[in-house]
Amino acid sequence: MKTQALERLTSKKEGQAFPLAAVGLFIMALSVLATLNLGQAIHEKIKLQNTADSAAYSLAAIEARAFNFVALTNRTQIANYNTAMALQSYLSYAGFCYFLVGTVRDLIANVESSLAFGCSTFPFPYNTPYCILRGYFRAFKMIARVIVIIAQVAYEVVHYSAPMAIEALALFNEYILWHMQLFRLVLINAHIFSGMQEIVGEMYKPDDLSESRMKFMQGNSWMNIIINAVLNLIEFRLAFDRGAGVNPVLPDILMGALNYNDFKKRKKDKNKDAVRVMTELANASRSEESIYDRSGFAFASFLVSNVFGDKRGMTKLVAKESDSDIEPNPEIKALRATEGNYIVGDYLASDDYIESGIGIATAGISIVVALPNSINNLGSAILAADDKDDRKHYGYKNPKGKTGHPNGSYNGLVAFPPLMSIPKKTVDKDMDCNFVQQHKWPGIAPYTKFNPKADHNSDYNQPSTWMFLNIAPEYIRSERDSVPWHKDFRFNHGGNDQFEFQNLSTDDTWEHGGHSASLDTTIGGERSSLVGFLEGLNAISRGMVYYHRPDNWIEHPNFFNPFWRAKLAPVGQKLTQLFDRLTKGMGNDTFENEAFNYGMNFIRNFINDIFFGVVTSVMTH
Amino acid sequence: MIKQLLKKQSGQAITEFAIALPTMVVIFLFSQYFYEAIQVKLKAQELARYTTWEFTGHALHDYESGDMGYNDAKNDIVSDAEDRFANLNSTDKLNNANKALAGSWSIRRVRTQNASEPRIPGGTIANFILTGVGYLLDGWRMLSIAQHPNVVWAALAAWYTAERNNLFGTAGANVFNPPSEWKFNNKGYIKTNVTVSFENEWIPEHFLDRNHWSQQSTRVRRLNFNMRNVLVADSWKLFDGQDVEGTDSKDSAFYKQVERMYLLKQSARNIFKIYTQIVRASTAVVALTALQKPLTMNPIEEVTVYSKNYTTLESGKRQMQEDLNSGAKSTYDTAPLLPKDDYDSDYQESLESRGENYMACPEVESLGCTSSLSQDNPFGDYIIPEEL
Repeated sequence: MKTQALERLTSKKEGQAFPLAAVGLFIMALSVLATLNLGQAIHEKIKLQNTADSAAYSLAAIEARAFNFVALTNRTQIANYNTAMALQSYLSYAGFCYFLVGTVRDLIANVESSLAFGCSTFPFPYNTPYCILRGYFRAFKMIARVIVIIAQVAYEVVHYSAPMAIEALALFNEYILWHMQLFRLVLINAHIFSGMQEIVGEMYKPDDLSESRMKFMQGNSWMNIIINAVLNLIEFRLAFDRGAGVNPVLPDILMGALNYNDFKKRKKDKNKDAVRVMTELANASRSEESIYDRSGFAFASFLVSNVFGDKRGMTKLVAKESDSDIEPNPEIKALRATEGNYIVGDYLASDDYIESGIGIATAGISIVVALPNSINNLGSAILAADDKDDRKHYGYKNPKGKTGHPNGSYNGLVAFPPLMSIPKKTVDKDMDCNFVQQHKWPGIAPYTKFNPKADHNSDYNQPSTWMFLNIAPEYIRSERDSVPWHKDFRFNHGGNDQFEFQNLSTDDTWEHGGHSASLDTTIGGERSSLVGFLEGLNAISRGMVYYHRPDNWIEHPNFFNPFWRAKLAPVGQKLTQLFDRLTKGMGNDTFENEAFNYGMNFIRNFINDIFFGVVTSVMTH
Repeated sequence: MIKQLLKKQSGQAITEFAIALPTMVVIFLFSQYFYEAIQVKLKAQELARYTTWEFTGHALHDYESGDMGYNDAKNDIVSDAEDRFANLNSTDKLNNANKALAGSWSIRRVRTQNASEPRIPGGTIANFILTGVGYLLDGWRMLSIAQHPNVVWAALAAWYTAERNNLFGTAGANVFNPPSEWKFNNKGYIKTNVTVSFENEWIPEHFLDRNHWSQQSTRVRRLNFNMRNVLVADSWKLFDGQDVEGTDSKDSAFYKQVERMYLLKQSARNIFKIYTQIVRASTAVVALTALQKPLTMNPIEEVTVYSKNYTTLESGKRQMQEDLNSGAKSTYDTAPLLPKDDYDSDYQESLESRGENYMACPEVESLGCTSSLSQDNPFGDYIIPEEL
């Protein structure tokens, strides 16, 4: 029952604005809270975008690091090839000199034989100088023999050790340097498949660095992780040319393990490109002075016995003479061949010989001349190869298949007086290389090679890194649950007053009845998402790994120079690029339908607008 | 008298105004306070981001010396960030720039950390798998020794395996750590934590004491905004793009880096140097027996790096002595460049398709490399303004 006083108060209209003002003020107060919420929403959105940017850039930076690492290890591989070539150059040159000193000794032996002929054939006293000089030349021959033995010992030191070191350098390239490249690149797969979780999780750690708000598959949705993984894997994979080894992405490695024999055939067919590239750079980096050309060492020998001529020599990575099945050509002259047999470098060949040579030894009253057809066969050749049948190491052959230095038959030898007997050759055998693995050379090792693409719309195959991030509403919270951006306020002023203060956790809901108005201050609720996995806040970012030699944009991307960098890149640019690639060739000079061209131009421009409309307004609200 | 006063309606408006005004003022005070607080909070977020990203513009790694530049960069960056964010415009130093109406702010802490490159996710399982893979690679290498019985290779492989734990971390290292002697930067993972405090300047401090909502004392206390940003900032940039021409460029950063990597480490290079001196001396002995000059090539143990700039097809090649017979090669490419007519590779075409503009755009940016203004637009250049 109402009292009279209460009746008077309720019947009077004075002060009716007061409750209205109270409601208004309360709404204003809520608006203040809404300001807070908006600020928090902006903060969370920026945080998510920052995270996406950091993750995209960091993945690009890690890829750039790996590419630079690959470039530097490829250069190290080249340095090893050059070292192997240098060692073989020394070996070949030492072999040549060994043959040379043997030849000089042989010429002295021939003079001694010629003197012996004069001593025994010419009448006394004409034979006296021959007999005297023969004694001296016997001594010379012995001295020369000692010198040859010294040369042989020194030569064998090189011959025993160099081939092993040469093979070891090639193996080092494959089993250490290439494996290191592969291991480093494969590890990037983990970052790709996790959606760069390391960065994402780290960004959302609280002040005390305890548990992150964005754990793997929690916060960022599984669909985003899949999208990121697929996109980044495709982009990453495009950068590599399998021909040089294996693509360092997990699916390829697994397939490569299944088809390892195919992988081993990388040196054939199209994969030759990889070997050619490495060969070209290795040959370009040689020490010019001697690995390539040893001309200028014009003559040699002792006072009484000389070999004149143009000294030639070189070491190269070469191929079989052609792509056919003929034997690799270790005949030294073949090394002087043109690009035809130079292209592929799975054979390490060395060549030292004399051109336009002639040998002369004289005792004054006796002279021996070794003609060019004999001296020009003087030399040393080494062909280091993987296949046992291809490996060669020998001195030159004369037309009868004998070692090329003046030997018993003295093909091309003129002597006066004639020879008394045929002297035994100083060096008359092919090299015995059994103790050094017969010059085994595994060839160009696998390495990581960039897959070039002459297309700006494909970014020249420079990989992008993509980061789609989503944070669901329930993870947009800080350590304190009482903050207003986790509340769903409902204020009702019709009938019974009611104020509902609902936390997202629904643990502390305050209800006072009534239904008329509400203010949901939670951020990124389902009210604003079209697709389930996009519920909450979303952000997109794109990074890019790109090649830029300082002050030189023209130089093409490759894995031999460490000029890879990381940057953020526009998202929409890729769409236009994709459109251009898909429509490439459709609009050309012969196509005269301008309406079509205008139409396509319109679509080309509009597609970005649509994309950004969707992305910025809906997906990334 | 009192009844008369109660009956009178005059003054009602001023009474309601008197009641409403404090409320309005409170709301205004809090609105301004929250607005400024939010501004400062977003600025704190920006400060963390700015500080972190600034490291991408600094040389954290020097290929030439192998030194790391984090500390120098950090001092510059933190100092710059603190100055720049002393006011909300993040521009110049201004007097009293840290104050607004409702509050003032101060940067209490800008802390950066140079952490190791992010480890791969996956925890124990990933480590277990990687450890297995690591030992598998060890096994593969050991198998190669059986396939290639070579004392030198066996010694090298053994050396590598022995050093591996020191140089590369364990086989199952989450992240590949380059050998310390290679002096790669295995850090560069910048973690920034900033704290910006916001001090209430005009709301009475105990205004909300014992409010009825929380039943707790809710003082308008100082707000501390802690912000965090992380980033792998260093992509091992080589800042020197000059031509590298073998030992003539010994002082170049590129050359020095390859030199550090050659044969794993200095001790190995020293042993190899002794060996190469034996080879060189032995060969010289043989040559002298034949009265030939010893070989005059560069020392075997010196690394060979040739990398010249390509701006045209010919510019990056190395010109060498002509081969010994006519028609042979005398120029060699120092970067991959297979002739497009002969091989499948696109290297030559890639070089030819690039321009000297930013990101190798063939045309200037105002035409857009790939935008609809591009002359590459397959549907014609209809919308390129004539003046362009």
